[in-house]
Amino acid sequence: STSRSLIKLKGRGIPFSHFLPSFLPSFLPSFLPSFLPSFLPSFLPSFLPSFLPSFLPSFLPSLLPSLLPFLPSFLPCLLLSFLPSFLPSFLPSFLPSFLPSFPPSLPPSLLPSFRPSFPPSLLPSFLPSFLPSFLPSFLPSFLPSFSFFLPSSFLSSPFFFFFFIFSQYQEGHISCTVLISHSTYFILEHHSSSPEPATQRRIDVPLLTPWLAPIVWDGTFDEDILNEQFQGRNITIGVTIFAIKKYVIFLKLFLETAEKHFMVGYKVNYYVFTDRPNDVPKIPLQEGRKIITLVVQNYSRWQDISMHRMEMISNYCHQLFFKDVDYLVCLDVDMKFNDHVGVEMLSDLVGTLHPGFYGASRETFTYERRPKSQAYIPRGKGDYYYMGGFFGGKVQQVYKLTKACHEAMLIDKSNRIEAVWHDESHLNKYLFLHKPTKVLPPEYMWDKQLLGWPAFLRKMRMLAVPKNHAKIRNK
Amino acid sequence: MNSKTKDCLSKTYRDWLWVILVLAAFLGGYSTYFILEHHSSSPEPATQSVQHHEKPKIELQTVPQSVQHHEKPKIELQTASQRRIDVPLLTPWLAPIVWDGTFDEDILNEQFQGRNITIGVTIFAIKKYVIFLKLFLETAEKHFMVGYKVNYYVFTDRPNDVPKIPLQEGRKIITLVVQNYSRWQDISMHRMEMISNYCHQLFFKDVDYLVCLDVDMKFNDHVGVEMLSDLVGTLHPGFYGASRETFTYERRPKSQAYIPRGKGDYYYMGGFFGGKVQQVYKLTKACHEAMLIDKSNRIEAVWHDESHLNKYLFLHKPTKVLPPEYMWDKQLLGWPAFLRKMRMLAVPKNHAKIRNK
Repeated sequence: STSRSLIKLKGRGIPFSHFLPSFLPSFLPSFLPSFLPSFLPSFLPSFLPSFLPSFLPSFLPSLLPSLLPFLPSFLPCLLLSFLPSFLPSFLPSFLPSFLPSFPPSLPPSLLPSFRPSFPPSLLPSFLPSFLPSFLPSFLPSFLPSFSFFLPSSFLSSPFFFFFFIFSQYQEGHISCTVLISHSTYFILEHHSSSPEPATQRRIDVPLLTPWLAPIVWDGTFDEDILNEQFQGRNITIGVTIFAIKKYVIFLKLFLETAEKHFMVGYKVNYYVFTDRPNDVPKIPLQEGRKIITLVVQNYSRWQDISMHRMEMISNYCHQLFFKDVDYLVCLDVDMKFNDHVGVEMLSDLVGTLHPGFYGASRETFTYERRPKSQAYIPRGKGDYYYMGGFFGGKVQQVYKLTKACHEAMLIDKSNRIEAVWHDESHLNKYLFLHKPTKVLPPEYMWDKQLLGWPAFLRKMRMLAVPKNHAKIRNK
Repeated sequence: MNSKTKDCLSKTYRDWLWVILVLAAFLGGYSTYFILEHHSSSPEPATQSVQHHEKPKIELQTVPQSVQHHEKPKIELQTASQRRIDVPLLTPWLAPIVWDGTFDEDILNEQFQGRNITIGVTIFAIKKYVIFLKLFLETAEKHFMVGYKVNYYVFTDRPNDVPKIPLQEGRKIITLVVQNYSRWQDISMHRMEMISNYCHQLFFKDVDYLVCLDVDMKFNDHVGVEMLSDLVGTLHPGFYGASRETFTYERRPKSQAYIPRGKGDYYYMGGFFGGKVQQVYKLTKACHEAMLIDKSNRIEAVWHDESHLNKYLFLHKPTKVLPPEYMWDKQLLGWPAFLRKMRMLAVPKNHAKIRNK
């Protein structure tokens, strides 16, 4: 009998159980975004969805070279997994988006107040909702392995799309209807004028907070429009980083990567708070950017160093920040920039979602739970868990935030209590009471070693630099 | 034997796929309208997240348990975590489009109540348009910014015809007598001038936000502080979903309102815009000056003040965009699926009788 692994998908029977391992990975992430997010988390154990998205990208690159001889057997499973992910997201998104454009085209007469739109608008509205859900689910798991061999521009081009789809059709792994529908979509999408401003829709992630602050995911904004808005205003962005004691070693990488990725084209002042001014590296800077070294005292405990950042930032506001900069961004120094971080993140008050808690239930957030502390947030309250190492906004707002957090920490100190996560707990309390006007997704602060590369993460803009905690802290 | 085995296998596999398909379709339909409990999109790799914090105790929750902890167990069209996937929620410059279901009224009211704001509404009831005032004001009392201080600025040439409506506490009607024009297009366009004129006299002092509305409308559902922002425009209901090429922008380069083909983000409604007084002042002043230039060049924009508004909002992007929920015409456009609420509706009117009289 023929080996099971070589069975091609031509309507032949293959037991369901056979597909379970390889079929679920790319099936579930896309399944989840389209409509299961509401259902599946409660149904499956938490490890399964998290295991799978990161499973595929991480194992494909390593396994693919060795799997190459067996590729034909591998592909049916991969391709069957692509079909179900095509269908579930097709169904829910197809119906609602199909209907809206229809009625406006019905009114026949051209009355003064209302002008009807006509049928060509039908197709763009229904197909885009189909394909974007298809792409994130299937391609991210596939692409990391491919990316070794092909430049990214080729990967996103129609060429590649057609090439891939057609090759699968040739191998008999997808049906003719799929080939035609995908091709039709691509032709329409790329040759018709866009019905609305050209941003693809992210349906796999929340785009707004309940108080209508945007969550700045990749794909939701147009860099050109935003740059146009900000360039005319001649703004300066201040970055505060604390390199106390041994943390000075992180400065070089931070500043070098910031020069490549952070607010390129704008005036930037790096405010380096340190107790070792001689160890601040000399980095070649772009025009309009400068490093200002501020010598501050150190503390023996790392928790104190972390907490006193609030005090130092609020102190220097009056001396420096109000005059010199328009926006302040307060960052951890043990990070590096990996991708574009630009003016899309600027707003009155900005917080960043902690990557370790993205998607987690509110009950797992490590808020301060002791009522005695100023940072206390009761159970059942709170919107998000914000990261202590990335916040910002207009100088006035950051001043208010840091001053409030510092004063709260002083009160706590006099009551002999220290919040469980120090300045981060106080930051969370403040942002719970004073909602941020923009929220940055975990793209803006990620840890690849600990958290992998899940499907919702299209870009890793800032990454944690691996460090040995025992060696670095308290020295 | 081989083919028989294959047939049996085929049937099993097909049955399974049908089960999944039906389940998927059911869940898709169900979850679109009844958003089930969850807090965010995908559960995190819980083990790894904790190590990042170096905590000795791993506070993991298996997912079934975590869901039960939610405070709001009701399954309904929630705001916080449920998602509208059938409509665009953000403009490319990250301004929210304020669809129903995307915001939490309580949180927003909390944010605005403490600031003791006053909202000004400008409506123009010139000549026969005074007949629309009664319905407009009565429905506004029920639905518009309930609980906040509201000043209705009624610009009219017939102050005696302004109806006396019982108002809620903290709300008042201020009648401003203005001149009328013979052409309805002129009346419409001079609204910009009148609003910008009264800014210095009245609006800067008295109100924080201005909302400039057409009067031949009625409120049908909640319109609240979710719409307030620095600069707000509303998507024209007749053009929602239409291709940019069909937008009736002014296409003659001679006009100040000219927007070239291939440019433009949305088609905004001339009868519903607003924002902070400073921003509305800038907008109305710019539009009025543009219309004066056009007049001196003997050209009138195809849709008058609406064309100039669109030009301004193309150059100065609004910070919030209101979807067609905020301005709809039920007779002309029906009730499509994406429209969950009709917050303001056009009042049917006989154009020939009303205009130019």
